[in-house]
Amino acid sequence: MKTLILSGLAFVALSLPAHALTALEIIQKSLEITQGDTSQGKMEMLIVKPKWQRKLVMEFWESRKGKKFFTRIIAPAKEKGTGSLKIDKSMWNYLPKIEKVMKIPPSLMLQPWLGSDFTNDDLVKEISLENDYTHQLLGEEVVEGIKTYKLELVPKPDVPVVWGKVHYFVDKERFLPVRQEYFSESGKLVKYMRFSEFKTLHNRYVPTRMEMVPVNEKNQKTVITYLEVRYNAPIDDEIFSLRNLKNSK
Amino acid sequence: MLCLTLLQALWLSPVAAETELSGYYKNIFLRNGENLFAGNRLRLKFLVDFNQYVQAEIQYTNQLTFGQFPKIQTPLNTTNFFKTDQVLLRADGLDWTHSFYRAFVSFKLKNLDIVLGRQRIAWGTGRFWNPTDLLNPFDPTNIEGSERTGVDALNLKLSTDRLSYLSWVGAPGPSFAESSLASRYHTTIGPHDLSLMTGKFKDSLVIGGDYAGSYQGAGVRLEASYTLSPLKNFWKAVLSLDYQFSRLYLLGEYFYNGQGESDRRHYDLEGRLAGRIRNLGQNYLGTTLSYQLSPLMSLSGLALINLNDGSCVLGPTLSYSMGPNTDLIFGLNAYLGLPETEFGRNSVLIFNQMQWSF
Repeated sequence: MKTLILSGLAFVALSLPAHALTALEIIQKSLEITQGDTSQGKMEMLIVKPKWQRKLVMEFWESRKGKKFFTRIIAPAKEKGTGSLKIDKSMWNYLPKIEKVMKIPPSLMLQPWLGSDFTNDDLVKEISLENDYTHQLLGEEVVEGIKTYKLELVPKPDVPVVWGKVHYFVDKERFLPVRQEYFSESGKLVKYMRFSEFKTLHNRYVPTRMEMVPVNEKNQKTVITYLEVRYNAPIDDEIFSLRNLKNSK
Repeated sequence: MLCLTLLQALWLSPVAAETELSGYYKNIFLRNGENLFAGNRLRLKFLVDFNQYVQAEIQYTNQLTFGQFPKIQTPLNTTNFFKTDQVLLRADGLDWTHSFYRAFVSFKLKNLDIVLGRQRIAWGTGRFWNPTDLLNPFDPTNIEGSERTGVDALNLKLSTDRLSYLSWVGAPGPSFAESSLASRYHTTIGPHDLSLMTGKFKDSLVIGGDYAGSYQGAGVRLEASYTLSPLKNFWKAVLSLDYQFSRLYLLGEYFYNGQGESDRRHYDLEGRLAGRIRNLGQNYLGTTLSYQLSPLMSLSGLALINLNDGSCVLGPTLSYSMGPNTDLIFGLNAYLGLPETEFGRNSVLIFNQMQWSF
């Protein structure tokens, strides 16, 4: 009986007209699909500059609700074993070259990560789109041929974010992210992220490729491709520990 | 009981262990005054995973050098139990040696890690100076910043939660007087990392602690120790701050060294050359400035100042990433000061290094 009532409630919730959703609810739905409560897997980062390219491969584990993130580089050899652990607002790096764990100050979080167009913060998601911004639904727009909700995210006071605002375009039907635009405090578009190659990974239809493109830098971008992802699979809490961080293998 | 558990962990090893080989080849040239030095080093790192409980790591070094390596770059004396280096050939300024940089086996048992062998036990939060890193201290003026000596030890680390652990270390020396026994507790409370340590380090008793946190976006670190030794009792303390401004990284560190002398006429120069002590003076200031010229190239500058005698080391370096696994570094250590001061007595050291990792 209880199951029946719950199923009924879930049906009613899913049947609510989309326009009833607030900007925050749209973001939460989108994050729930693309990140789940937990996610773990392997991704590749390709840094493209006008005269050279570099590729990094890393493993990651994330507990979105637990605000925990762990990543370890597995290629190239020079960076192999470098790990990052983030729990709530604290972050530590393990540097295998000097075999030492170091606490990372907040000012380092907004710096480019290993020469890419992603910041440390983009990687470990210290700043949460869900919790650290105010949200407003600006309207609807067709982006990359997809009907999207256009949301404006403005950082809350005292949140250490370099952006004045972020525009977030979410697929109206599937609640998948299509594009994110990052604006400076003076309102200029600085970079944008394009989501593409939508595929089914671990029973979820998600974007598997993200391109971060700086607007003022020609022939330059950073592409993240998810190679493997598992959503909502249990993650041993030991993963998010200093003990595991020091394990450089 | 412990031995039985370790044997049980080894017994569970499958016949086919997982192995991994990595390492680097490095080429280094330097000039120090009239001395020229060239070195080639091959470092091979073998990792063997016997099973989920037992792992072994061996880092083997084979090195061929020509010329005299500067004494000021000689690592501090760590009086290890095992002699792990051997001269294969020495003739006319040529040295061919091999050694074990690391060689240890580790056992993972629930929340206890046991590591036995030549390893690095990096204690402390200071960047240039670590008053609590007495087992395997490093020299910030070393042109090979990531080459850090290890210590022969039994290290037991009990994780009390995800961010806290208690460790006990026994590091035997050639005699009991040259052996060390120490323990350290590390924990995280909110955004603050705290550690406390105490132990017998050779002929001294030491108590100390460290802290890492942040203020207004800047990293804040503190580290201090008090030493009871047969010759003298003394404090050492470090206050360290760092901040990243866009592409510019700045680090500043003050070091109080109660073991040193404020009057340069009383400096223990013999102790410095023998590797017993590292710093001669009492008050030091260290700074690092690093600027990202491009994603592949960075310029950094190091300045270590002895505030008592006014001498200093200035160490600019230019690093270039030639390929995904290849780095090229040009740099120098300029020693400034009067001839009888700590740093002023040394000649300029110019170097370049190329390292290929695999």
